[in-house]
Amino acid sequence: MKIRRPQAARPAGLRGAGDLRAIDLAIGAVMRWGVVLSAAIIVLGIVFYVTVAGPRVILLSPPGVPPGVRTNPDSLAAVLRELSSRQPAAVTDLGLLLLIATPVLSVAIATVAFGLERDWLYAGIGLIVFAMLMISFALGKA
Amino acid sequence: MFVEILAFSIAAGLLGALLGLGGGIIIIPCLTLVLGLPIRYAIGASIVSVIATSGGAAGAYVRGGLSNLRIGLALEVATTVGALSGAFLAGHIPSRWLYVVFGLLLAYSAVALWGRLNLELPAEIPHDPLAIRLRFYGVYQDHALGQRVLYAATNVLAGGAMMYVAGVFSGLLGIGSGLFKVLAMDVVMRLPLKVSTATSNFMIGVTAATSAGVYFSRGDIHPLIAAPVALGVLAGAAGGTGVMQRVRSVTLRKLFIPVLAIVALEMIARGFGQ
Repeated sequence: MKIRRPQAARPAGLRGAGDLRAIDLAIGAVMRWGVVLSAAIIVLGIVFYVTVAGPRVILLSPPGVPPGVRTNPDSLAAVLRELSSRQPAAVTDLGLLLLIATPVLSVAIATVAFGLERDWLYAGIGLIVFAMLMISFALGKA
Repeated sequence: MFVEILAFSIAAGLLGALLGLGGGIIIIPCLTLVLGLPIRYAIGASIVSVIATSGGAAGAYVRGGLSNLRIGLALEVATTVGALSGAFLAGHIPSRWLYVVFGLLLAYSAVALWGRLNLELPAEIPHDPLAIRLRFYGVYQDHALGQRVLYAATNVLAGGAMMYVAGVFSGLLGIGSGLFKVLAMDVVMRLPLKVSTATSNFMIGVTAATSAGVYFSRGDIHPLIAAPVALGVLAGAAGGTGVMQRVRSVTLRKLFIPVLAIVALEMIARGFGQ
């Protein structure tokens, strides 16, 4: 089977490297901007934390809650509940959750892009990886 | 405490990016050995920071044409399954064993890299039909060597098996296990070190997200620890990425080995001391 090669997507000097440049760049952009956006929200979250709970929380050690005690949010619903009740950590938790979602989005984009290129082998591979990411959120509850 | 976590995280991010790691290997010993935080929270914070590093560096590596998306995505099948097994397991074994396993993993890695100290580019490699079928090949421009490098993978199945193990460690210990991924591609699949490092950098984010999903659902991601770790590592990694394209592979390895050896001993001692 002959591979279709969109000429515009590939800079000179990369001939033979495959037809991945456009997908590569899209994924790079999603990863980068997802991280930048999450980081910005986390910074805002810390500012929010300090304004709600006072500056001492930042300077002193994190509260010594033993691991396994479920005081940290464990689902999207829990984070949204925190937000609506103005919990100090709410915005930070939202940023952290968005950060976790960023690679999930990049895998989704890779899968769709390979599908559009009619590269069914790699669309299938992307789908499997995406399924694993979805399963992970269910497994923590087990 | 917040400021100390942030400072250590910046240092870990810088070193991590230079070595193609997520920085988790450096930040977990800092949080546990130096700051005395519980290892489960250290793992939860680290796994989130791994995603930050991967994303922060991905843009630069992708533009440089170093990372190989097909190789990365296909091997992610093995690492994500591994990450699920590891993260699930971590909730069911005692903390002291986490320290010991972590230390042993580091020690092994130091030894494995030592044997390949002076190899800049892979020599002739054996033909692997699976590598051709999966299109595990490519080309990149090496600025340090001043030439275009054509490459192809070999031993794909063995590499995949090692990737599964990398995933298990990632889930178990909250690291991106970029180190192990680099070894799988560099040593087993015989890809050039720079391609291995850059591809690993994309992969660790996806593997880490799989583990992070489990840790998040378990409530092990503490915002006041995870936030400074994620921000610090991200800032440090941003600084480290620019340097990476300009140094030679051999220099990277030399920088790598002593760090690994010291931390390995510290973690093992901690595990047996508890």
